[in-house]
Amino acid sequence: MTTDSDEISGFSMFFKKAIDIKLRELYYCISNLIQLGEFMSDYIVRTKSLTKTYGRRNVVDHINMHVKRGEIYGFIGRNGAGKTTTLKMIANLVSPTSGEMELFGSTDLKQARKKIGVLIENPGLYPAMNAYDNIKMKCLMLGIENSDKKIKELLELVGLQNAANKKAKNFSLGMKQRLGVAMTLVNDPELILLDEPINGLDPQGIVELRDLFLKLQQRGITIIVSSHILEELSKIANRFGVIASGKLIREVTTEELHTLSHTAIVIEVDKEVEAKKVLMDFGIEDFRQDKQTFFVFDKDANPGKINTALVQAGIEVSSIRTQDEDIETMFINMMGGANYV
Amino acid sequence: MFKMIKMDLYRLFRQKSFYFVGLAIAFFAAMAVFSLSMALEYGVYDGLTESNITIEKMFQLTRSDSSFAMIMAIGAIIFTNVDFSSGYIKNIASNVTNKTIIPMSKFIVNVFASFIYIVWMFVVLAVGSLIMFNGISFGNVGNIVIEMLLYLYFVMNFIALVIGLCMLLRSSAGSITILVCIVLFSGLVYAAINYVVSIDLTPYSTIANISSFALDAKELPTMMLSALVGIVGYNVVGAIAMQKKDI
Repeated sequence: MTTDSDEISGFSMFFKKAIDIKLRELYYCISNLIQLGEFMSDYIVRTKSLTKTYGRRNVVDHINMHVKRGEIYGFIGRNGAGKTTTLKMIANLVSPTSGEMELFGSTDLKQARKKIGVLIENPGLYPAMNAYDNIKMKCLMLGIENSDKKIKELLELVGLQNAANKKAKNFSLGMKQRLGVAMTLVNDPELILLDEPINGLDPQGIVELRDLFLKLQQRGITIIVSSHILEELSKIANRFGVIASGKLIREVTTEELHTLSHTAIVIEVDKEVEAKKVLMDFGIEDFRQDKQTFFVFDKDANPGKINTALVQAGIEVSSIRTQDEDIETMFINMMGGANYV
Repeated sequence: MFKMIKMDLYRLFRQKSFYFVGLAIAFFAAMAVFSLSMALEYGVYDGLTESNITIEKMFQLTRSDSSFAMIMAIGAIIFTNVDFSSGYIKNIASNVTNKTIIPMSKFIVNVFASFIYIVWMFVVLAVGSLIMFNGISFGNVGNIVIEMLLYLYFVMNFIALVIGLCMLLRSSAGSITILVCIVLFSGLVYAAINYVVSIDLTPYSTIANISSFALDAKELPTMMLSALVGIVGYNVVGAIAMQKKDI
């Protein structure tokens, strides 16, 4: 038999449990929100459907870009793919036609852009002024007091300490690029945009610049580097954004790259038109053609059966082998095929 | 804006074109003294002789030649367009909160440079006149100062025009070509309009105002007002062009 006190005790236990459950739910909810906030603020650049149209052509076509804080983001694409225009939109040198952008987790782009350093296309330097004066001008524009010390540090960082009084027009291309990088660091940026920084450099210059980027990353600076030189970018970038014809095809980390790279069956034939028909009749959809060579990526494809089908169709198979897809081939596939230059 | 002006001033005094323009002005001013002395000798100017000419009058006659304003404007074009031709504009435009301060700063610095050039022109004229004409007097110093300031005011209008051109075209060659055409042919255009529709537009003309203003002219208020409209209007055009055009 239950008494009143037993009932009260039962109710209070039930009440306590209910509150406990609600509090726990509230805790998880808040915790998830905090994690979401951290996730969001981890992105130093986020774009949503960012578009730039010239005439009737979308030079940059609804790209959704995500660059995490502290990483080196490799922005890869062919010449004319839209890399420079995208970087220019982030740097406020070009106005987007449509779309949204967040920098440092904020839509207040005017303030956010004060934390960006920019080296787009060729380094912007006054040719008749020396290295010291070129940096000094930017210090004056940014209101940096006692800039002599800063200029000296920057020139040392980029290895131009002995060229401070040399006019920019007398610099080699590599020296100009390095001075350009020094200019991007004047305002102690948290994000640097570098557009094709290694173009035209000799191997020594490339190595020096690559080491500099890694050094900057160690300082906590996020770097977006655009290039069409895949080999160099793959040595430093943590993440890649592949752009083709204005569209961001894919964003992929270095780790994901390796899991995505395919093993291909490489077949060389004499009659490519007939061979293509045979492959399609065989049910193979995932393949790429480069003149008389076919790269079959279907995981279930059987080289022996493909060879038999081709031979039975009267096609001479001069070579058939399996090949692991290298990073370059993978990017070429992503960017649209073998006519990449 | 103040920081931008500091940067532009720093560059102004380190740019060769600033000193080349100064040399050109000195050369033309010296030539003006020489040609004026020849003109006075042959009685070209009614009532004016070598004995009654003053430096004040020398300045009035010299500044009425629009060549000086054109030289200053060319200097302004070279100064402004270096930012675009060198690509340095990318370093500037990416870090400013408002791109319209860029042409404003160029305007202010070029007006300052024009002030220096006008003073320099006067100095060369005065020294040349003192050498050429023994015992020449300065004339009314107060009028000289007012004339120089008025001249600067009308030159400001001209500078605003060329800065606006530079922001639109972003090309030294294009801007200088249009500038030369304006200086050479605007008088003809106004004369043609006047001939056809009997409307005299010269009080509103940027170029005509520089060369033909006089302290006692009854059109002076109209000229000053039109110059003010020009200063504001051309700067607005330049600011909009800087804001809207991609870099």
